[in-house]
Amino acid sequence: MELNEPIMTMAHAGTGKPLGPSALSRGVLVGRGPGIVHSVFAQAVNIGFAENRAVVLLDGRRPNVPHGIRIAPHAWAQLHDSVQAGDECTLCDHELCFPGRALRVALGGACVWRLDLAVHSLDWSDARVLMAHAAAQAGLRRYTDSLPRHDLMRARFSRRMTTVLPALELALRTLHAEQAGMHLNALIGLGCGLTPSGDDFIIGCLAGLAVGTRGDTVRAAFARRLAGSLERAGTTLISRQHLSDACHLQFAQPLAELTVAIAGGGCDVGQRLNAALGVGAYSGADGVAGLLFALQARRDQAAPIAVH
Amino acid sequence: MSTLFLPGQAIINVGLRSFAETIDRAGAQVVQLEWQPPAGGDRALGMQLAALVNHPRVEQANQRAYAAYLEAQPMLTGVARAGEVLPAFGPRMLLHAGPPIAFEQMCGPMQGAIFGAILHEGWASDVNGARQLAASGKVALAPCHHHGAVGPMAGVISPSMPVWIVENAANGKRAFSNFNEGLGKVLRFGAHNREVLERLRWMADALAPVMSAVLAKHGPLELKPLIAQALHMGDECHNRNAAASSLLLKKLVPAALMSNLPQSQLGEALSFIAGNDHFFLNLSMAACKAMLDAAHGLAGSSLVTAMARNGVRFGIRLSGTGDEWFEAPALPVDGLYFPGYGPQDAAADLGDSAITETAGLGGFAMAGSPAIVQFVGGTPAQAIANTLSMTHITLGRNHAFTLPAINFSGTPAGIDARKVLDTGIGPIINTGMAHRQAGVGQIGAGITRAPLECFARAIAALAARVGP
Amino acid sequence: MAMQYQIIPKAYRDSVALMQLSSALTQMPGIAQASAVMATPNNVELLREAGLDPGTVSAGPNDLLIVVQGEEAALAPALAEAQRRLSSQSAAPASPADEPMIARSIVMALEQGPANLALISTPGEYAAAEALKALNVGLNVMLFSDNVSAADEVMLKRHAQARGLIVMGPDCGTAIINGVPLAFANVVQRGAIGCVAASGTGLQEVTALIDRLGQGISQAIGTGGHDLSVEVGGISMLQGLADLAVAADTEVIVLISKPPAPAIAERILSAARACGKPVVVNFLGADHRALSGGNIHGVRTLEDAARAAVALAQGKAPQVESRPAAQSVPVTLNKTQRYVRGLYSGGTFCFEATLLLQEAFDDVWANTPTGRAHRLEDVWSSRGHTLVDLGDDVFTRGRPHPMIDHRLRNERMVREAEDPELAVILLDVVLGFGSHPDPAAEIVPAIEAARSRAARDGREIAFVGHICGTHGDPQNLQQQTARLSLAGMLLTESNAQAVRLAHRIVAAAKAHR
Repeated sequence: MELNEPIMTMAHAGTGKPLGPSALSRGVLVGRGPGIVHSVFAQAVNIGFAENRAVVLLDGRRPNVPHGIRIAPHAWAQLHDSVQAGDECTLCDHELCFPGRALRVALGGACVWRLDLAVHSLDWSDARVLMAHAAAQAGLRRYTDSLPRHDLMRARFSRRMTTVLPALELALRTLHAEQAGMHLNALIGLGCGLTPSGDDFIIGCLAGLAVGTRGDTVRAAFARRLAGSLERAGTTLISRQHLSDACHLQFAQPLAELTVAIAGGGCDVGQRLNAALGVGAYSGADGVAGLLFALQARRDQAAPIAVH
Repeated sequence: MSTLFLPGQAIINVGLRSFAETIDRAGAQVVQLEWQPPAGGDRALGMQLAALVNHPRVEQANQRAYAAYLEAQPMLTGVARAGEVLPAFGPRMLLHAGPPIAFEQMCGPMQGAIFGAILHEGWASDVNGARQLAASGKVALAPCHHHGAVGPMAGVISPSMPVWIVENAANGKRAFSNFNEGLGKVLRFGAHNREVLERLRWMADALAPVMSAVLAKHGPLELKPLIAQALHMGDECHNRNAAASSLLLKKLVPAALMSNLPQSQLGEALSFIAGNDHFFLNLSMAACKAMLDAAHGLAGSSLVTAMARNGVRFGIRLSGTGDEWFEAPALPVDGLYFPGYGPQDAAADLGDSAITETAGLGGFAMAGSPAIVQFVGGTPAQAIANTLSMTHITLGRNHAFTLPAINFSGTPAGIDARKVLDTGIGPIINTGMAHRQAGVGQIGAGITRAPLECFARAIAALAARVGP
Repeated sequence: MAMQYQIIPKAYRDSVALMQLSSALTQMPGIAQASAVMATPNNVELLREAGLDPGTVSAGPNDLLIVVQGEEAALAPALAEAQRRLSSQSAAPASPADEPMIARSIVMALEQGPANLALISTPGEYAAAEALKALNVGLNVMLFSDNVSAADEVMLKRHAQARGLIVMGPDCGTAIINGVPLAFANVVQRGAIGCVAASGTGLQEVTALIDRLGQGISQAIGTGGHDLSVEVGGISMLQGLADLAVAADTEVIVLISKPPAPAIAERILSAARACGKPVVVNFLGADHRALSGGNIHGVRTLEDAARAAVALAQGKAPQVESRPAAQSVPVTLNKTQRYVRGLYSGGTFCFEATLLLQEAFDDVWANTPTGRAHRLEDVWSSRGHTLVDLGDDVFTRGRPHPMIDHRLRNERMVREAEDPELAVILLDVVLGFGSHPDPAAEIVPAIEAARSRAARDGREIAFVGHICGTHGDPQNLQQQTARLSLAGMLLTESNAQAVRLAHRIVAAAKAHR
């Protein structure tokens, strides 16, 4: 709930400039510099930058991601059709320019989107938080039960998870960053999808670990250390950027909003869950699984345990 | 009692998104606007626009204008020399596409076409002479639209050129267009070499008399049913006229055979038509002009009755603002180039042919023309989306022109300048791209939009006329 | 069962396409399982575990790996089919055309279905135009935006009046229409009490208190703070009153405003007298007794307004005065500590506090003074009894409203704690939609910081305040109350009671001296 949400302004107000696509909003981690179009999908255009960074242009009907720029839906088709993989472009503060296509995306009026999970407190003594968490778990289970089960790698991935999860749970619960990092690294790039399931799971985990850590120096440091230990080179360029966002403790809007809804014990958990599950094919469900898993570990931290 | 407490109504949220979320959570219906300051952020103009929204006088005028547009019945009645039939056409006058423009300011293709027309009329003996004459100001220049006519691309019409006469049976008024020369080196792209001049001469001396005789034999030809049929056959009657040209030929051939013209003359004329898939374009344009002229001149109406480009500036006219043009720089065209050409070679948007979009064809009927979609770069799904998006800036749909791809509903037609400015959705135009140099010809095709600035100016002028 | 794989370098397909691909392959005859994944090291290793050795080929994370398992003879055709599908997918379909286009104007939004209200929160310079469009197409308007000129407000309201519509605002922060909270509003039960208020936080306080007293709200209409000025003439309040007068679900009406110009007040009151329903009137600072008579019940504070309305809705005679808060005060003040410092996020709370506090003290200072209170020249530092409305333009320029961003108030609390004359810090805590999601998390650390600052000089401070909120609010009223109480904040039921408690603490300390 931000009152200071900036209002979009017309990027090309009466200047007679071409009515090119204009951006609605941009994520907080969108960098700048020269880039090359990596891939073009119906609702997303990925652009690669130096140092394996990526920026994604999104159809404005899609939610925000920290490294994303949402394009006004009426202009999306034009943009989508104009660019091809391999096109060069330059991104600066006020525009994204494709010189070879004579195409400019005005960024002037785009508001910067960010959702800082650390400031949203997580209080397990509040029954509504517990209930929200439980409701999300039940919802996730219903959803995963409905997914097709034919996929070979997905089955393998699930099997691998059953061996990793108990140890990971212990490491998270006892705030053992080194152990936790090792287990998470075994999941990087693992499984189906352009953002492999393991990566989505890790990202969800980090969201669960990041929420409500402001003022909680121990948990904040744990989340940061864990993020720092991830070996991101082991996955696709696109997934790598999502992981990198997560390492900055920034997350895609549906996942972040679900996290806030659970932490707030809000009545909108169901709606947020559906939005988060709807991302990609399995990505949403994998991310939510990671989130709920990490939250469960944090819930159980309240109970005393033996630390080795 | 006010309507505030009416149950089951939606709330329209203009601004902060979090408010829409709250309403949504409470279980009420909410429509969140993708809002940007309308009218390019000009506050005063924004207020003028707001005052015109649902203004009773504007609504009434629009209703009448739109009805006149729908009722128009354009008929191809004959052929004549431009100098003989075009209203107020002076003896040393040339017409051109788009809003008024001085010779010096014209783009390459239009200047080239002016030279060609001067040579065609014999007002100069060579190109240099033609250039000097044009630059001297001794040839009057005027937009086709000021003389009841429309012409594609450069749109240059000289007194001895033949023109189609299209009469609106509903009000008896006439609209005109020149003949289509085909593709390649042609006057409308600025070419003016011997081949072009010879073709112009042949069209005036041989083709026009044949057409005149054939039409006399056939009688007036209704154009709307022909266009409607072509729309079902994959034309949008701006950039694609293959079906309509064939249909026209089908109508003309029996009459031609029954005329007493020598077979060689007939054969020459008919094979020229058969070889030109764009032959119908000029008739489509004249029909559109006739339909929109019927809607022109209703005080208070925000209906757009012309959109035209002179290669430098884009101009529009509203029904309710008389003969004033509202102009902005013409935008470059976004599309596919023929091999060997690129954006650096293209002239800016050019021609009166956007009259087809103004009348609900062309880009507005793109959903019905999958073939054109590939030509201008895009997918059939986008073509449908483009057509549907135009429903948000038009007064209604023209049910005389239905499209199978959108469940046989009519094409969106009758652009409302208020809606364009309020939504920021620019009318979409399918168009060809001319090379910036005279005479090279067409180098591609694509899509462009009418600049919003034209609509901003038009609304300011309309608001001043309508008053509060 | 046999297994085979194929690597397709640099093939990017979105996850849905990959899923559809593996699903299609699985349905081919003789194929048991299939998968299309990115060839990351971990995935390659996973395949090795599954008994397939892709070790001989080099593939990287950006290459696509297709694996099929099944009858030997079926594998090659399946991989060929995968190739075919991948190459035909390259022309991905664009955005589906059957999805309606997102509305970009009010007129366009109406194409989607009937609506009766436009909630407008654009920057002020564009808000009037949007409101005018909404009115022109027959919509009522809630204008959250501020910075709308008085001339535009008059124009819009007359325009609305002529069309039987209402304009709530400009600068209307809250409303509840048909149970739907609009902008900054609390979650209240529906009931028989209808409110019309020219004050945003005033309306929030009255509706929240009514809810906590067990009654509900039929409609709560905001008019914007300028509505009862002479220029505007109370058009919206009169319209709201008329609407509530005929609304079947409304039995009691509450009107809230700062004191209007006499002519306007008379116009409102005569309409109220004629409306045929009991009307509770709270013109903050006016002589409430003079207002009463017939169906009109004048009250002094927002709390009294809520109590009176609840009593009337229950068919009882309204109680005139709210009960004084009886609380023991576990704070010892030393003899320099004499003053109350009120740091408010809600303008009406500050206004009410200024009125109530000057009944007891002479040296009351405020940045938005009323009555006998003095104007604070330097709003950034306090003197005597000081009441600051931190939602005033001076403080909100370039930063969010203090109901959302507590930093300014927190800093001020610590600064006040340095002052040896400070006795009581008086606060308001506003819950509901639009407000900070967890105010206690912001306020508690500031209380602790202020307390420890004072403790350095051997002083204690009393923290007094009230929470404007309901049990239905997203922030969890019970938890907020518990955490603030635990931090030592003395919480009262209402703002008026908080002011009285602050007064009592200072008076008791003085008597003690």
